[in-house]
Amino acid sequence: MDLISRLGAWALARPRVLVADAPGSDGLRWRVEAELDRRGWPLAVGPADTDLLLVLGAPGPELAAAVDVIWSQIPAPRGRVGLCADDVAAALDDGRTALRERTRPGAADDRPDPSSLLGKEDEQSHEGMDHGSGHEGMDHGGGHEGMDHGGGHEGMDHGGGSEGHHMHHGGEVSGLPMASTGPDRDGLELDVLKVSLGPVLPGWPTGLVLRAELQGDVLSRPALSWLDAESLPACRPDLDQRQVALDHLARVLVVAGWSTAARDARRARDGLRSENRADRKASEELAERVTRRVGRSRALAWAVAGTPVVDRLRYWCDVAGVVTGDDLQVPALEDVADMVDGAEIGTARLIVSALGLEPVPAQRSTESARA
Amino acid sequence: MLSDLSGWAIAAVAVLGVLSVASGIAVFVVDSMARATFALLGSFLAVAGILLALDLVYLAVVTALMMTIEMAIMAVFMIMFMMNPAGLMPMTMVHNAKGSAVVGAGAFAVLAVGIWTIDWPTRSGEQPPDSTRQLGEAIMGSHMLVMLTIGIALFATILAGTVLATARGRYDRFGADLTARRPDDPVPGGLPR
Amino acid sequence: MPDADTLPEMWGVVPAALAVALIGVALGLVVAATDRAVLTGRAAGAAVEPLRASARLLLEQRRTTLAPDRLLWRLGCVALPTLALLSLAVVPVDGRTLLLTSADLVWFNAMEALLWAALWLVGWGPNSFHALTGGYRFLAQGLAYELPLMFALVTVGVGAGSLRTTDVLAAQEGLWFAVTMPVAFVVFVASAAAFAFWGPFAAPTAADIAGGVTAELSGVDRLLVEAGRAIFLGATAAMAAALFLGGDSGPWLPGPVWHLLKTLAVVAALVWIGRRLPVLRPDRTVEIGWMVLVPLTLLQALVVAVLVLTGFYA
Repeated sequence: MDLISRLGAWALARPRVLVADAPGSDGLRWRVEAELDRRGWPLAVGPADTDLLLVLGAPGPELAAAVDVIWSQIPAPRGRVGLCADDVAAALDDGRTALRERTRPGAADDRPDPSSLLGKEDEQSHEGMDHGSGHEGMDHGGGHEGMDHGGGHEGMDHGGGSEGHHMHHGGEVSGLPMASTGPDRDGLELDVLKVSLGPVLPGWPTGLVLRAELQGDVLSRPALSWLDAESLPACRPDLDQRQVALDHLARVLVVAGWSTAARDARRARDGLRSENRADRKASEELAERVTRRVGRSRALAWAVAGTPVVDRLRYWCDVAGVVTGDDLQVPALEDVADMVDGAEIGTARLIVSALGLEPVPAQRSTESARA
Repeated sequence: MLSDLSGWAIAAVAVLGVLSVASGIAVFVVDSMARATFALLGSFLAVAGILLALDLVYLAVVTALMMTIEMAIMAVFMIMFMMNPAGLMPMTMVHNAKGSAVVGAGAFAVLAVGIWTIDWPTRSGEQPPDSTRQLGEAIMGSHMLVMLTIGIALFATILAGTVLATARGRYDRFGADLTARRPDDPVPGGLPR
Repeated sequence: MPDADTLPEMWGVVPAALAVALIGVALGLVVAATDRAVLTGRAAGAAVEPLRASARLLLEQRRTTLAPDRLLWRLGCVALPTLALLSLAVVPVDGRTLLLTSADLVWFNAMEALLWAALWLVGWGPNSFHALTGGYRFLAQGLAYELPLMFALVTVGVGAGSLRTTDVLAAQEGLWFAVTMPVAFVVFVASAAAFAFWGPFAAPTAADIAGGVTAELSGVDRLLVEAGRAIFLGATAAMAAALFLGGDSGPWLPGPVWHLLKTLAVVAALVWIGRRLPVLRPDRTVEIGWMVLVPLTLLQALVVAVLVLTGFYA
């Protein structure tokens, strides 16, 4: 018993952390990420590799529901910490202590049985399951989204379809709407799966949900929306533009799979706020190095060639350096949907993360300032 | 020939033989395309195991290698035409059950009769120390013409199949007079052109 | 030829198999620790982190998803480390291999090909479109690297006049194959990263599809997949050292130490270079694989074949 809890304490000394930040809590997220980096706690990619769920700020009702779904998908032992503005380090310590408590033999887990969630018609029912595909609710939440259960039935041909006698598309299996066929980008007749991406994904603006049809790995008919669109804060807290740019850069680099450069961008971002002058100087240099590295990377340019990501990357690099470029407009969600229509899912993710979408558009804050 | 083999090898051949037939049957019993594909792969791997037990290493590993890649490529098409992961939609794996049963039973009977009635030649000379080298010398020597013909025929079949399956040709990509510098593709490739 | 040709003849079957498995796990730990050190930019404590992560995964609950294909899913997870260890069975340790086959190079390649099936199953099993997309990406990537990798192995076989790894070692007594086969060497090491879906070739597990094939893995399943990936990288580094860098040849130090040092050098170079690159997309790498690497590796094989005919390697 003692040995097991000791082993558990050792194993969970550096838990993997999934950060779900409510809109407007960017500054807090930076502080949290800086502290995690200092402690060497890895950032999780999704619920499956999470030990500790950190909820930053005050999520609205819809995002809170989505976070609950993510929580239901985190394998035990798991811990959850809500964090507003108080001491980040203390909150992380508390989270780890709670997590270690869970490893003790006999620690009860309050997880509902996935199948018990299935029969219910309430909002959570289809999200609470760990399935992640089948229909919209991918396992990263989707919260109340994805509930248009009927959506899966659109355009499917029960029997009598073009698929021959042995294959029945559409319909439901295990309560999940099945894929149905549809014409694809290249003129083939392929299966269509309804999916939704978001609201919590690595490098993704938290609270954004993209609903689309997936054929192979190509997205079509996308629609984007923000969770809690009515109850968003009126304007964004004022943050240093260079730090914002470095943050965006780091998030694009995470999606692009360039972990070391993303790490450097985050460290530069965090160091720029430092009280210590030497630290700030070092961070300036780091920022310069990382933007130069990103700007010059042929591999990255090659990987994102032909997408709007190229311009955006250059823009973030310019702002992160001292170069003040033209202010790039953040496109409306409808325009973003046009950009990702027909894109491969990874490209779509890159585009969304590179655009620097915010639930509260910058214009609104300037308008409110004028008023 | 069996007399040359050790008891272990004979036992392995027998067990793997049963295994390969069993997973061959499983192909038609399971109701998911993925399981059918991998049951078939299991059958092939059992055959590769038999070859391994007979000390024909090269043939064994090449069988495993080729069949695995083949099945994996099949899986690509499976995903394209059947997006539901984990085989959620049960589907039957048999077409024309009666006809295929008759054909299958007939082929089995012919082959089984053949195995037991043909007067197989006995080995002349010693077993070679390195069956791989012997195989290579046979392929590159006395059987070169056959192997080359088969190889080119298979390659031509692959090319022809691809050409037939592709709706777009070079005129679609480079224009009617083939003068376009960059091909007009829905997704650009990796080369800067 | 030494008295005992294989490790089992020297040590007995069970100890030899255990030793090779231990070597594999140790190499995997080295790879994971190096990777961790480069990723975090801190060397301190990096050696412990893979062990800690393994312990954490052992304590963790296994993930169940709704309506998974559990049989195929678990099969894929178990197959990954198994194949990695099996591929190590033909890597010479102290001049001997665990398995002495007459087609070691093809054996190694077959284990890697079986990985196609295994990883696809890991992506297919959990009934999740992110995992499925990851499996799909791995196959696309496989199409890009498989032929160049085969030609690289063929080149080695041609140069040594044998498919046995021990013969390949013997053939390099005068000159390392890396000198006359630089293209094959680079392609082999890059393919190692590609079939271990690691570093710039991590598209099947990339963050842009929420972890891809690993998106639904937790507990012992994730441990198996991560361990399989690390052991594969370590085994391939050891294989690269044997095939191209002369294996255990070297002055002063005993042979196994040289082989270990060369393996570590390959691992360090691989991790250092690999982590300086973003993830390369399979739809782009396929064209490079077929239009650039296939002709290049064929040319390399031709050059080596001509050298063999001129008696260069004799």
